[in-house]
Amino acid sequence: MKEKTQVEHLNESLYDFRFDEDDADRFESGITPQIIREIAEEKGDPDWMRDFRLKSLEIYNKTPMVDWGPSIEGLDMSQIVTYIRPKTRMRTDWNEVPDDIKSTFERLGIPQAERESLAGVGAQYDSELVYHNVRREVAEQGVVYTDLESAMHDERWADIIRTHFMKLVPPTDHKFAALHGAVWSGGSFVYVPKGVHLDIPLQSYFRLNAKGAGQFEHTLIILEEGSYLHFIEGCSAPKYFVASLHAGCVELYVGKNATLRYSTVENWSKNMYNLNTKRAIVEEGGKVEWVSGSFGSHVSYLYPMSILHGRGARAEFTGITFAGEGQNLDTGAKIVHAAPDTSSYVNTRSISKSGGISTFRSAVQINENAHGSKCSVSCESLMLDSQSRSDTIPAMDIRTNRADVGHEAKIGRISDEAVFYLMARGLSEEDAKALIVRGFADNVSKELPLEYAVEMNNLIGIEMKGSIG
Amino acid sequence: MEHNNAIQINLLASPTWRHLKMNYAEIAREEYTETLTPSAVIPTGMTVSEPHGAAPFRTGGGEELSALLDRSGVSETVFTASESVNEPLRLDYDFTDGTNAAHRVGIAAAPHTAVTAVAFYTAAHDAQGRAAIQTRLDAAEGAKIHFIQVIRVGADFALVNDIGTTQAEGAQVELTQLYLGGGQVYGGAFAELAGYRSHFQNDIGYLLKGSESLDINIHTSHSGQKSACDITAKGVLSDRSRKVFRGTIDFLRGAAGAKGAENEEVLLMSEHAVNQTLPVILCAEEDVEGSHGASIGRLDEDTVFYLMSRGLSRESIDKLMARAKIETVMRHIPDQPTLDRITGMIGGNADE
Repeated sequence: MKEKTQVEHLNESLYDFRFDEDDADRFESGITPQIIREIAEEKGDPDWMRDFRLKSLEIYNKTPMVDWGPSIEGLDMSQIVTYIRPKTRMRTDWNEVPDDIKSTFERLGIPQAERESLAGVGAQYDSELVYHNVRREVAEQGVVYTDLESAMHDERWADIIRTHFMKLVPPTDHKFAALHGAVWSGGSFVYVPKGVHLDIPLQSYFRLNAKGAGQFEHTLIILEEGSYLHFIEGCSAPKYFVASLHAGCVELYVGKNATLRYSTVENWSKNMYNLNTKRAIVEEGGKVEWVSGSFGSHVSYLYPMSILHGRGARAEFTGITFAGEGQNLDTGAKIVHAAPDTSSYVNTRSISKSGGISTFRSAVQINENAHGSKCSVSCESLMLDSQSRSDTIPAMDIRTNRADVGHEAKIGRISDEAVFYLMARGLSEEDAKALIVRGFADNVSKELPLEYAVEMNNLIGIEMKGSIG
Repeated sequence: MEHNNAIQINLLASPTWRHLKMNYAEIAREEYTETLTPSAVIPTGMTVSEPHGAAPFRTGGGEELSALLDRSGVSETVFTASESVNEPLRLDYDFTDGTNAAHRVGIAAAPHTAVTAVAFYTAAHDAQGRAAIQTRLDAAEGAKIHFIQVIRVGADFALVNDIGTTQAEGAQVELTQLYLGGGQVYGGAFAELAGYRSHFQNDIGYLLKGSESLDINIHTSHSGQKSACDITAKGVLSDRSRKVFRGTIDFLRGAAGAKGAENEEVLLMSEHAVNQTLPVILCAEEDVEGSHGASIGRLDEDTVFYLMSRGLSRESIDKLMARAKIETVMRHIPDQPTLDRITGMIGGNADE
């Protein structure tokens, strides 16, 4: 008989709690021009944004569904509510946030993290940001960290938003990018001025409370020359028995010699379709570092893309995906080398257990002008039982001889000898396997801030409970 | 997506992003109007027969290609080894100008026999035309088939080289392929590793120049316990040549103890050559070991410097290294007449 695992306890106690919504807060389900106009009106969109939304809807209606990845047949777009009206306007004082929302984020530990280890925090609840704050000393350096909609209405930032919004991820990119362009709501805008080095991270946390809803936040980050930022993104939702959708969008502009580290620990509930799009463009000498842990969702399509646009630009992607029962997680990375002397490094781990399916999918493209470029891709997969599945689909498209590309992949199971050795040292079989899996995931956990690495290790330990027998 | 005037062949077992244009190749839907048979030297111990309603078999080229050959009314010749043979079966396809032909050939090895077959597919450098050869390799229990293919056609010739293998318990198929040029060449192979301890080895070498293109799709399907495959591709791309390599190792549930490895080394000799590589592992069984590796780039600068310091010109070094890639594949060919003929072809190729 299957042991009740701590994952279920976790679902019930830590992430799987919810508060009732008022039906009046919900827009109608489905996507129509009328709903788009209502969202635009609700938000007071400028004309260009309202037109952009409507154009995106046209593209959405014309674009076919993806036909190459995990099935999304269970996602009935006519039943997804694209906008939940907020109960409160955005606050910068935590005490002014409504009690039920405040309670949600208190239970997730967000205010505590803000006090202890963050330079600023944004918290999104369903469709809207409910709290945004940045430390005074950070703001005094000229760093802007606010919600995207406020920035769009602020004359200091309006033009920048207009010239950058969905330019890296145009609505024509794929069907869910078009959907995002039509119904986006919430998300953050970050601007780091030239030469400013933020020693402690900023964090946004996205919480989807409503049943059968979609979350479509947009994150836009601009780093000027020589600056540094570590941005952390966290996601969770309670579990319902109807599908939810996350189709967010992240656009990162990394200036000359700037460095941006973008870390994500994703633990959406296991009824979530996570169809998120993330993309960075990196200028001369700049660097983007993606650190990604994917634990939640029913289905994921997630491939952060780095466009190395300036000479000497660099990208690193470090990721782990853990697919358990009922999960089909298709994750990986895309790298485009579009300038000379660029370099990239992709290092991932995938774990499949209890019938879960994990797929590592990547694309490395080295353009004709990317002379002197280097790329290394390494992916390892671990199968914990024969009910699960693990696929590796890496593509390489090399269009210059003045480049070096290396690729390696391995797939296998936990070594019996290693388990035997650890058991001989006094560990139970379950603990031995959990220890080995934690070591397997070390590439990601060592890249995260300590608090998040501990959380990730706990998630692995929880997922490994009940893995024996 | 099937177009009216084209069919999809060499399909990737698990497709990826469409914009990469790597999921499949396309060839003309037009039927092959002629049938052809190779000149053959049949060793003692092998017999020739017409097909006797053999079940359809899976190939690397795929269903649309098989359907096209069916519609074209292609004839088939089956060579069967009922005992181990010492001399190779020798097949020679020489395509003349204006060819529009196809053929199916089967090579079968009875239980616990061993057979080697060598096939050359050639055309004059200025011959135009198109041809498709579909080969079935059937290795019964404990049998071993070593099939050696050497392909060189002209820049205006399109050749489809499609293979399917079935391997029973303890059976081995070794497929050695040399692609030495051709305007548009498509190489597909599907290995059905259903037998316990069945084994498939594929060694591929290629030399492409001018605007030649090569599209390869290798797919091994492991359902047999302790089945194994080893796929190696090594090649050189010069001028504006293009190459796609799709290699899929598919571990099905139940293939406990199976192992699969694929490795590709690509030497790019030109700024304008295009290389696309897609090494895939699909895994539905816990107790397996799969790996793939790829190394793509130009000649190592230190090696070039060393060889130039020994008095070689850059042009000579390029030829030497290209030849070295092919010679590592030639090591798998035990037949001296075949090696001599290939050496002659490489020499000609290098001088051009």
